Amino acid sequence: MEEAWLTLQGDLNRNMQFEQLQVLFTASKLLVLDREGRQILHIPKQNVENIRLIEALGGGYLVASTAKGPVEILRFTEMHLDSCRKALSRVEQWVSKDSFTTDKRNDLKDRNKTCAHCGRVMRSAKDSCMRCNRKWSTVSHLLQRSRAYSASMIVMGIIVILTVLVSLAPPYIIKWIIDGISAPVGMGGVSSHLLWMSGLLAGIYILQALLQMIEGYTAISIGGRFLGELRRDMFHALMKQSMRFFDNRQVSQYIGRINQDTDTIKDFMSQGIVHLTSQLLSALFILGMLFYLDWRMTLMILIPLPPLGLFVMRLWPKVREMWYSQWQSSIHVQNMVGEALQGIRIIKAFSKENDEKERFDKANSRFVNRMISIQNLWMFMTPVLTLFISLFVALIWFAGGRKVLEGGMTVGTLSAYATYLIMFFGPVKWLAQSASWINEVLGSAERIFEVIHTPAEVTDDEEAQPLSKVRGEIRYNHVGFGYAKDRRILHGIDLHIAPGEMIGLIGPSGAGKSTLIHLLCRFYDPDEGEILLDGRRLSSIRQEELRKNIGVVFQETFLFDGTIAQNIAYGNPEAEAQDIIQAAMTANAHDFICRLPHGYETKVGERGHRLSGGERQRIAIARAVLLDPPILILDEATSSVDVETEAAIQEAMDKVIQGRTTIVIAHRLSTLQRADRLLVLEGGRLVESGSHEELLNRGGVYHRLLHAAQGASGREVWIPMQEVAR
Amino acid sequence: MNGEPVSDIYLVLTFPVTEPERYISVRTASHQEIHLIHSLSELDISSQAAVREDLERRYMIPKVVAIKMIKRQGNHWLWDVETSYGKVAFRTNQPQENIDILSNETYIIRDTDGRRFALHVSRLDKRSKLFWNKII
Repeated sequence: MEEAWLTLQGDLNRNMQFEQLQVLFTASKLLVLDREGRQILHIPKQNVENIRLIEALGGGYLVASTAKGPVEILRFTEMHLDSCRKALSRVEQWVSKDSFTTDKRNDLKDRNKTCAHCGRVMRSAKDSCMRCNRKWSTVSHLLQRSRAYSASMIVMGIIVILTVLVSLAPPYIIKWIIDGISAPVGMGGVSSHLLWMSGLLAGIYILQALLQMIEGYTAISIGGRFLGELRRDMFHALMKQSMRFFDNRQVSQYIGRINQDTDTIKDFMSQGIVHLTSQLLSALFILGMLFYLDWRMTLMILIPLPPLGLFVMRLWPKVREMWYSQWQSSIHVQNMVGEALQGIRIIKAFSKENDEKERFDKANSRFVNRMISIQNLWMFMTPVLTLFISLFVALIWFAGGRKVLEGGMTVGTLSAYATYLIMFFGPVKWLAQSASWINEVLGSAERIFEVIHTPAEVTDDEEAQPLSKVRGEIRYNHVGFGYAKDRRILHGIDLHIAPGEMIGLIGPSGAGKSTLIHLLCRFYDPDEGEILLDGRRLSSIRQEELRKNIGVVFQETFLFDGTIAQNIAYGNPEAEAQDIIQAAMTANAHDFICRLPHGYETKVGERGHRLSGGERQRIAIARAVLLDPPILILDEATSSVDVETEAAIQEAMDKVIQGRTTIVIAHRLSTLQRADRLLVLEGGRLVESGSHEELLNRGGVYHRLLHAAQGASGREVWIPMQEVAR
Repeated sequence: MNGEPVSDIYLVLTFPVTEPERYISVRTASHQEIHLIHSLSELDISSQAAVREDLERRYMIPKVVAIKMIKRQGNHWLWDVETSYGKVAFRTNQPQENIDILSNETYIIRDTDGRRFALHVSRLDKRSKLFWNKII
């Protein structure tokens, strides 16, 4: 049989039911195989006129046109859509060419590396597979992190062992005292013995107190440092993430996660570990003591331990689940607060405060209920365990008492035994109860490590070279991109921008103008094709360096809470006051800044809300100017400002673009007329390119857009391009 | 259009999951709306069938009808469900990031392979609801 040069997977059969299917393309035919590898369809190549991919919401079809009509050859859900898209051009070649070179290129598969462990496709090319992260790996990550503290940990371990040993002594000393008193020997011997023993007991108590103090001190220092490092790593990890990470998530939750989850871990590291080890150790030591005092009775009291262990084990997953859902609802509450505060203007404007309150109350009460139900579980556990232990103590007094009466045991031994028994059940009880705590901690740790270990999506090549002087030549080679798999935004963009050229980018809203820019800034990587800067692939340039060379003024200008000077100097914090003023002058911002009482030291407020839209925009321009980048990207604001401000911004832009490669998403006629070249985007495709006059004379899309705009407003200065869409 | 028969049209569900049989936009190949079908029941039986058939091809979102199991494994949730497309097992990341709430009772679950599943809580059986309530 001929070898297949391409295999495409599908997962739906004709009856719209899940079934693994595949299409094999060989040199002379295509075959469709079912799950067991049986051939269910067979079309010779000469009968195929073309093969189309029909995309639906959530999946698609491959359809072959034949002389007898269209034949569906494969049906699949979203997971196979991308590989079909990528294969399509080669399939088309196969159909159209008589002698198709059937080189078995595996690039379709190789692009998605699979994990050696679970065999699933890995999301990122680097690092380990995120999918087969096991429970234990959380524990091992925690342990790995603790390694940095090994010195303090060892000190801690020694102290814990000492504390446990010391705490074991008192009952034994008391046994000597009781035995000494109850044994009828010469009075003088007993009282000196009593003095010695009481003194020893007091000494032990003092030692115990001292040890506890040192223990607490060490624990807090370990926990505190651990907390600091975890928070730092988590924030660093967030900063490292690519845009898509934030697109797909509710971001407010991270505020809480960075605080609460790390706090939980801190508590555990500072108190939990100490408790856990000391309780375990004491349980073991006490058990030894019990055996030493009377092994038969000890065996008897061990009987209830296995069922107790089993009980905790059974409860474990339940508790895990409860903690998870509690966490879930707490995140929900947080997100709600975050969202409400961000949208407070809209909430007020629509007077939706009460609805928001209601929504919040609902989420909050759910959170409270879940918290209560976890606490309830332990409220129930504690008395039951205590009762259980008390009953055993009673039993021991009975059994031991009889032994004393029979002369098989001294009163002191019995008293020591009973005390040790209570001490033994202490840790057991604690360990059983800590199941809940450990679960909470593991959950927190897991979520922290999830953030820390999620690899950034947009990564630089390992051999990424430093960027020398940038000329500003930009080339897009057949670039295709979509934010989500099911919606392509850009299709086959081919574009060359010469150094120093000023490009005006226009098109109806949703045409992909901003997306084109996002790709150049490498907020995302293209799904297809590549972008070159000075002939170098963007991924071979370190992102930091790339962005240092690109100045961006977004339509939505975000200012950080700080002074105007700080905001202008954001990209270049070392800038001298003089440079900042120079930049502000270029951006025509200097004059309005001078009118402010605090000048450049005026606080802009969160997000710059104390400034007007036009002012914010000029500060953003100044910010880009100060960076002095060889490439400048401007997204002209669509919102109208007064004519004077408008002119000021316009003039600023004119000054700024001198000597730089500039891409302007243009909304104003003046910008369009000034650009060296205009690029018209429509439906994610580059449809026209040329100067203002050329395009106008051509009478195509550009003419239509411009004409509609002017017709609508009757004014030539302002083109509200967003409203002209179609 | 204007009494003339129009060929080459396509249908768009404006609410693909919550209202699969209502508010269907009928559009020409050049993306112009020529009619908005408020409800499929407006049409005669044979047209209804034709529309349904077409929509079934354009919207491939399996509906979860029963949840057999949801298990957590590390950072993932393993789902074993019965859907309108048959049995399937899939994985999701954190539920709160991968379950979209469309209404009080309709949800979209996105798995790690980018597939989407619709879920209507009221159509689940009791056991499935128990699983669901633990997750959401």
